Amino acid sequence: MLQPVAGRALRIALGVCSYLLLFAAGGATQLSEQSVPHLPGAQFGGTFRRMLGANPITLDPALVTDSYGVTVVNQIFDGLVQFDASLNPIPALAEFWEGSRDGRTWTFALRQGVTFHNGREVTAQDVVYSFTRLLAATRPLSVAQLFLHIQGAKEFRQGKAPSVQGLQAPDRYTVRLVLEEPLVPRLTLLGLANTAVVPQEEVEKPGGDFGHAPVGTGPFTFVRWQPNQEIVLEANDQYYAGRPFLDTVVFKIIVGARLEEAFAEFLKGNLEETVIPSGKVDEVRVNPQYRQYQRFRKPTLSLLYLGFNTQMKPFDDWRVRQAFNYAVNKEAIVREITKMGPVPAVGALPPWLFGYDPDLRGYDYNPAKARELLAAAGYPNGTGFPVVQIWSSQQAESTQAELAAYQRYLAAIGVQVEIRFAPDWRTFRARLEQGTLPMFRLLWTADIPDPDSMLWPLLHSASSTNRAFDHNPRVDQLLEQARQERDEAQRIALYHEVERLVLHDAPWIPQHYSILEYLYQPYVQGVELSWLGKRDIPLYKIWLKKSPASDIPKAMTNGVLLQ
Amino acid sequence: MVCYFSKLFPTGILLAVTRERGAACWSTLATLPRRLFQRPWRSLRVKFIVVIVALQLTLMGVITVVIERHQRAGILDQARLRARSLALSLAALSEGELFSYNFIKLEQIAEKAAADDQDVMYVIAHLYDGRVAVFSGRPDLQETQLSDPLSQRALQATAPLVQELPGGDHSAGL
Repeated sequence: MLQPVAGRALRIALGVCSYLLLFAAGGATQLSEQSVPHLPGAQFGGTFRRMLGANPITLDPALVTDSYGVTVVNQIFDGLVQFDASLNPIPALAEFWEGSRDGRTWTFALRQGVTFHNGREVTAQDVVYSFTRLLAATRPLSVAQLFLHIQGAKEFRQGKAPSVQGLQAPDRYTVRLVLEEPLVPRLTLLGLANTAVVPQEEVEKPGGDFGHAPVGTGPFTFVRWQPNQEIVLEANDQYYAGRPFLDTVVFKIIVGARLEEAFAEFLKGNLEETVIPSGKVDEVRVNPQYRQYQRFRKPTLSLLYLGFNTQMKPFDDWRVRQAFNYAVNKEAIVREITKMGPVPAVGALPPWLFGYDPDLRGYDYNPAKARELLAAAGYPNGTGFPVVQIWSSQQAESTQAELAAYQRYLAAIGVQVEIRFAPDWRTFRARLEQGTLPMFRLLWTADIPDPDSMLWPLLHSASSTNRAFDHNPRVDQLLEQARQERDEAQRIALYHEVERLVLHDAPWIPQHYSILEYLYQPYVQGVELSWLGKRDIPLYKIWLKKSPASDIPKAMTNGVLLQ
Repeated sequence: MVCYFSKLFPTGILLAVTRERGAACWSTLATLPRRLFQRPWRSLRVKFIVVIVALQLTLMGVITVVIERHQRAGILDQARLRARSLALSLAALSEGELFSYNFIKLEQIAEKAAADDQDVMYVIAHLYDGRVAVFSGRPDLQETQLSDPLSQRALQATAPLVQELPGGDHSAGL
């Protein structure tokens, strides 16, 4: 009897086990279903409106040097490579590439079937033409110089050769760059807006003005530019990565970068994006009325500085420039006016960029030392010192407050200051180039994630954006050496030396490294902020959610939603 | 009265009660426990089956609990080891970038680690003074100080330290 009883008991036990297993399996299935992330489907359509602080000088990528132009150019053109949100170089027009073992030959395979906005297919010849054009351009010199290491580039620039030997198109879809020596930082250079590929027939169209009617391959096509009003772009249906979500992008031009005006327009619903003006940062953080918006914050590779024209009296004397540095309490300005957090600038490189020197000691707030230096320069208590003009193209209230603070600090050492605002960016830049501004307020943002992109344009004697006209042969030599140095430790040491020399020369008062805060309307999705700031936000990834704002999930990509 | 007791299965009873005779059946039901242990239910065979099933169920329960606990402990140990190994590997990978203030490269490493491995919730690299150098997925926290106890303990650690997020709260440590 025992055997059948045990068999039955076993069957019961197996039945219970099976039930338990089935239950467990059912639970697991349910859990895995629940863990699948719910991604709301991106929607097509709509207009994205953002502020542009000035009329760009040009929209021709080979010639663009200002952030305003780069912001628009990045949406119209593509280069061989682009950056992702973490600034890794990723394929753009080049589908893939290969570097030779010695780092001197780079071969790029182009995507096939990519067309310009005029309908013609992009070929390797277009890339060769675009790079040749960049090397032929007299401006911006600092960018052209980055590519002088291409074989035959120097001869071409000197007019000794009709073409650049190292720029080759072995077939319709292959481009080869042959360098004379390995270049640091190599591939990231090809992410520069200046290296975008352009169609020769449009650039050289008789009677055309490519800088005001650009034709590229990018996600948006140029529609119109109404000076002082707006620049309008439309979705490129033939974009190689797929049609952008947005139908239209409108850059509302607010001359003088009056951030408060843009902020007010944003609150009225007339813009989809705004930088939070310094004067509103605390209010936005505290006031619950702003919780409906999406807030993003990101440090950028930029330096805001007050430059001296070192070729102009009295700023041709380093003691005067140092005196000004000692006279101003930058920490207080940064803390109380710009609200940029604990990052008043010391040198040119921000503390999150390779090459930053943590041991660099800047100028403390020391009015006594400032007076001493001023006296040594022949101006005891400011006697005989001419009235100084500080110029700015930006007229935001926070900018005016900053400059008023400089006025007060300098008055304390006997220097009278007049604050002047240029009527527009074009005029301001022209005066900077002519060297007629004794002191000026400027923001420089790196084009690529490399210290060379900060130091060379601002400090090398041959750079057209060296607005202080500070010429130090040793600095030039170090910068040139650093460009070719492949050993990172050596390269860092070179940049540290540059920073120390510049600190002594004091061609500027470095004010702060920007940490920008933005607000976006609640229905804006897909924003990706990188270290390069607002101008590099890929607008083709942005889409507008059409449902009510309250339904929008608190989710985002790389930038950060702070609510 | 129509009232049927089925003996199809010793532990189950199929009861069919006609609606009009329900009251009479209730009296039968009331005496059911007593009747169950009357013959033939009181036989040794049935008692043996009941005891064996009860024992098996108890044993299964105990075994399930023990195995579950053992597995849980094993998985947690493995997770701790993996977390430690990942953190050490990331630290080794990031050290050079941290010393050279290459936060861009550091961010690339952190984002990749968080994206490639589903078990990694986030990666934080602190500077010597406690400021956040990078925080994967939270660039807004760069250059800030984290004041929560988890971060404070991490900052004070002089050797690799494993901490657990209370209740799996994803915001812990922020």
